[in-house]
Amino acid sequence: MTTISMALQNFAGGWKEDNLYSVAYDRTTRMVTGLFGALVPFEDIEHSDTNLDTHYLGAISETLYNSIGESISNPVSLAFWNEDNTLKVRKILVDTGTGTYLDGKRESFVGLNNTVTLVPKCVDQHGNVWNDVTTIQIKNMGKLEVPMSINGQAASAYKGTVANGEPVSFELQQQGRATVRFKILVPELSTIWLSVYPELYAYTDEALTGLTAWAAAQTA
Amino acid sequence: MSTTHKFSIPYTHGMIDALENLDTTSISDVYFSDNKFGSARSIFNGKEMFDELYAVREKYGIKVHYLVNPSLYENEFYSKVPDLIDHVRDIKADMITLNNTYLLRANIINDFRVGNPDIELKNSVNNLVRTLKDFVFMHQVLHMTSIIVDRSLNRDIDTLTKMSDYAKQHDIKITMLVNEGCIVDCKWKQWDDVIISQIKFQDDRSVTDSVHNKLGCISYFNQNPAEWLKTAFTLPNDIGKFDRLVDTIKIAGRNFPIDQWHRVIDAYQKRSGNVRFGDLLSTTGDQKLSRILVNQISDLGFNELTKNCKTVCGIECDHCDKVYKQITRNFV
Repeated sequence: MTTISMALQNFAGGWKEDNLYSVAYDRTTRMVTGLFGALVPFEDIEHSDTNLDTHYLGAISETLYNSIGESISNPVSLAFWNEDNTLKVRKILVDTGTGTYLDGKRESFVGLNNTVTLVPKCVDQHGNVWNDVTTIQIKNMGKLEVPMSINGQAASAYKGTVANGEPVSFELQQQGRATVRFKILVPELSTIWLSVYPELYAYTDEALTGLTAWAAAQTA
Repeated sequence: MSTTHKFSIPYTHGMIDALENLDTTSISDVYFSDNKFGSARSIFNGKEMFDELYAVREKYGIKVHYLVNPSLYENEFYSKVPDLIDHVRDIKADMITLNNTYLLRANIINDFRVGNPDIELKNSVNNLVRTLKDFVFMHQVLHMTSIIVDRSLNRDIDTLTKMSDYAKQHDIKITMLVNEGCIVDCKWKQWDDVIISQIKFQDDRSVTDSVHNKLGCISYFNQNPAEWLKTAFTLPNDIGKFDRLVDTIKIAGRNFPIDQWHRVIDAYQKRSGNVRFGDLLSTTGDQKLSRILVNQISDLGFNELTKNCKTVCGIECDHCDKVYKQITRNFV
């Protein structure tokens, strides 16, 4: 079997209990880039990319299958194959903090007084905070063109840091959409980083009044 | 000119339902072709397509825009021009894109207006309106007042600004195709256009498809992945550079599945970088690059580097190569 670069793989619903699986990983970065399953193990995989190698896993759980599949297809997650023949999965996620909500229509986070509080965290495949990472880097992608205060700093400071799993506030100073980046360096992989780019939205005064009333009604 | 753009979007089956989750007020038209005079003569788009197009127009006020892109069509094409005029009238098109410069010079718009007095006419991106001289020619000689500029202008704000200044003086509307992902001045494209203009619905394309796949841009991008970054496109989180310069953003993707179609239009409307590079472009390339988020690319300064680079790749500039190496080292 020869693997070649093809269209994006779709892993959703693809797990089969009887299948025996192998992962392909990059020899340099050690990141898993492929997941292959069949009823019989294949021993003759040749990759067109000569920097790829393969490791046979055998039967795997549906949870692990989905985790590896997500790491290949979703940039917020990664799986890597270690030299001690162990597999690790890491994800970067964002929870909402106090007074912060998801505007489903805009697919953006919004907040009371146009202050959005987010809780970025790096977790393993079980959703547990991964304590190897202590610092998460923050960046306002719009820099000075989309001013915001990060954790009370001046808007000119468009970068900052926050501890893994701790809240960070964004006081939006311009109506409209903004994008921020949370980024971690993966300690085991010196050149690899994971990032996620939540989008925030600052309402008009009128819309903000509506949000305030709606939020008050939720707690009444 | 407004600082917010209108969008010209491609027809895809099932779009009427998907439109419910998009900002339809900013969509000016939906463009399509058929297998009579259109540029998709290998695809049979019949009554079902027209029913959906008319329903979209009725529900959202989005104009129906017919593409007549082929350069050749057939040897005695000009004898078929009356049929073309009748067809445009019969399908009740509100807009038409035509790349035949002889017909443009003959003021065929007046013939179309007999059937629909309000019909709008655009040239094709394949007319390659790249310089200010080209732009003035389209206006003064070919009488165009709505001009699609060349794809290379995605990376040439200087020339686009000159065109925009002229356009404002002469009440001309400018359209920019932003996500085609074609090589600037592609050496294969003339052959693609010949095939597009000659292909019939029933043709066996296996040999041609094989040649194109093995020797065209698909294999070229796979063998030279960074070249895909050097094609003519503008990322969704960078279209603000066209504010006050461009009236309509044209989005490629007539062959996109409906989910991808929605993601791409939504990203451009929101100016969001949370869309994958491989989803965005209508060309295909390196799988590693396909998976990368637009935000991850722009995070490396890509938008600033390419805003006005004029595609001087190779000797004068290797920024895209550096971006590609940095992306693949960090994310793959």
